[in-house]
Amino acid sequence: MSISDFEYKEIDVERITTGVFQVRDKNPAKNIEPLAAGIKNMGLLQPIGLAKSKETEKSDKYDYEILWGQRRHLAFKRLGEEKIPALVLDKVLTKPQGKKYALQENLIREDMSRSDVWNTIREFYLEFEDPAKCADEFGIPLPIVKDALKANLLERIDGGKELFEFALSLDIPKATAFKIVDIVKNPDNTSANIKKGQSLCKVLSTESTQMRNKVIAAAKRTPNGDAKGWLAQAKAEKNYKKRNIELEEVFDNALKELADKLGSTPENVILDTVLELLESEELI
Amino acid sequence: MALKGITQKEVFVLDRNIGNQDSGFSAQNTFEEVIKALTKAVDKGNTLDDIALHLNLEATTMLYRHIYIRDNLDDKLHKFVRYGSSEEYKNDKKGIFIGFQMANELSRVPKNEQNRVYKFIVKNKLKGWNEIKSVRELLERTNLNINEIFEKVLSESGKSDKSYSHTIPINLEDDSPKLFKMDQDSKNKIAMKLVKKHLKEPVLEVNLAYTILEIVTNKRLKLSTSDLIILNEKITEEIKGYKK
Repeated sequence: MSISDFEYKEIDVERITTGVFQVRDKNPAKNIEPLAAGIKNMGLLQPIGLAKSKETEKSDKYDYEILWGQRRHLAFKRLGEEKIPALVLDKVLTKPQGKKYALQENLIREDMSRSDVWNTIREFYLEFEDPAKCADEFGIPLPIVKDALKANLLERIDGGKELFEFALSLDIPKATAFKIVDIVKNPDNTSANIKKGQSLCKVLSTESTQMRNKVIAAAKRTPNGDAKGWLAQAKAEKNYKKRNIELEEVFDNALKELADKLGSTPENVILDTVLELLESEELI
Repeated sequence: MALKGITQKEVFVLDRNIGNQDSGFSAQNTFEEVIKALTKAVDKGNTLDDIALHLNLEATTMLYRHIYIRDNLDDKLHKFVRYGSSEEYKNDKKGIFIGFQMANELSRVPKNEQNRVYKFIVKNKLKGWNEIKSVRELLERTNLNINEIFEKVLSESGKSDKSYSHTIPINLEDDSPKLFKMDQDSKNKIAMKLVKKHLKEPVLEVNLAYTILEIVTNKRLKLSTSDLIILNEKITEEIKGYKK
C-alpha cells in the first residue's frame, strides 16, 4: 500500500473512532486548546489519515479508525465542526498495519513541524528573543513555538552541541543538559559561555536531582552569577516553608508526567512555576 | 474476563489496594498481602496486561512497581510498606511505616544499604520520597560514604541537628556589585569577617549567596527578635558598604 491508495474526502467527525491504531496513547487531549485555536485561525493544513478496522466493520456507529491526526480530530470536535478533511484508505487494516502508518506519520510530522516552525520564526526570534511575541506574530500556538525553540537550541547556539555532549558525559539527564545550554547562552542568542556551562555541569554532576533543580532555578533567577554562586544560593534556600497543596488525580498525574519529562520532581516543578510567576510579576 | 487461578477474595485484595484512588475506598491490606495475591495471579498464568484490564487500570505501571519492590526491596522491610497518603501513615505512633512511593525509591537503593537508609528516614521522620531519591543519587554520583550522604541530605533539607542556619535576605547584585563578581570562596571569607564583627556566638560557616546570607552555627542563636533585626541591618549595611 502507498499514499496513492489514499483518497481525499471530507468525513463526518462523529463517524470516526480512535484507539486501535494509535501509537500516541498519553494524554492526546493535552494542550488541545492552542491547536484548536490554530485550526480556527488558519484551517486544517494537513488532512488526518483514516482506514477501516475490524472494529469499525462491526460497528454501526463508526466508519473509520484514525491512523494519524488524533489530536486534530479532537480539536475539530472541540470546535464543533461536522466534517474533517481526511486521506482515507478504503481497506480494513490489521492492528500492526495501522500502527505502522500511524508511527511513520507521527515521526515525520514531529521532525518536520519543529524545523519548519524554527525556520519560520528564526529571524524574528533572534531579534526579539521572545517566544510569546513569535507566537503572536506568526499565529503559531505558543507551546509549538517553545517546543521548536527547544528542539533547535543545540543547532542555533554555537558550542551548544559540545556543551550538551559534555553534560551527558557527566551523566546529566538530557532535559537538564538542555537547560544548561539555555542558561549559559550569551545575550547575542547565538553563542554560549562554554566555560561557565562546563563549570555548571561539574557542579550539577555531584548533586541530587532535588539540589540540581534548585541550582537551575537559582541560575535562571540570577543569570549574571556563576556555577558555584548558584550552588551557594541553592544551599542557602533550604529553609523554605513547606506548604501542602492537593491536586485532583488527573492534574496530579499530569504534573508527575511533566516532572518525569523534565527530569524533575512534582514539588520542584511547582516551585519553579511559582518562582517564575513571582519573578514575572516582579514580586521577587 | 476472569483472572485464572485466584479466588474472588484475592481479586478483591488487588482491586482495593492497587490504583484505587478513584474508588473512594482507602487501601485496606498490607503490601505483603497484596504482593502475595499478585504473585499468585502471575504464577497462575495471568499476564500483567490481563490483571490491569481486570482491575480497570489504565496501565501496568503500578503492577510492575509492585513486582519491582517485591524483587528488589530487602524482604525484612516489606512489612513496613503502607498504602495511602503520607497523612494516613504519618499517624502511626511508632513512626515505622513508609509509603508505597518511598518503598519504590528505597527498592532502587543498593540492597546492602537499604536497611540503613530505612533507619535514617524513620529516625529523622522523613516522610517524603525525595530524600531517599537524593541518597540513592548521591551514592551513585559521589565518593561520599553513607553517613556523609545522610548529613548532606539532612543539611540540604534544613533538618540537620548538627548545625543551625540563620538567614538574612539580601540583593547582592544591587547591594554590592563588587562582592557579586567575586568567586564564591572569597565571598564567603569576606562575609565571615563581616559577620564576626557583629556576632559573638561561634560561627561554623558563612554562605554569601545572591539573595541570602546564611550564617551556620552549632547552636541556635539566642537573640531576641529585635536583636536579630538589628544584626540583620548591621550586616546588610556592611555588605552595602564593602569597598575593598
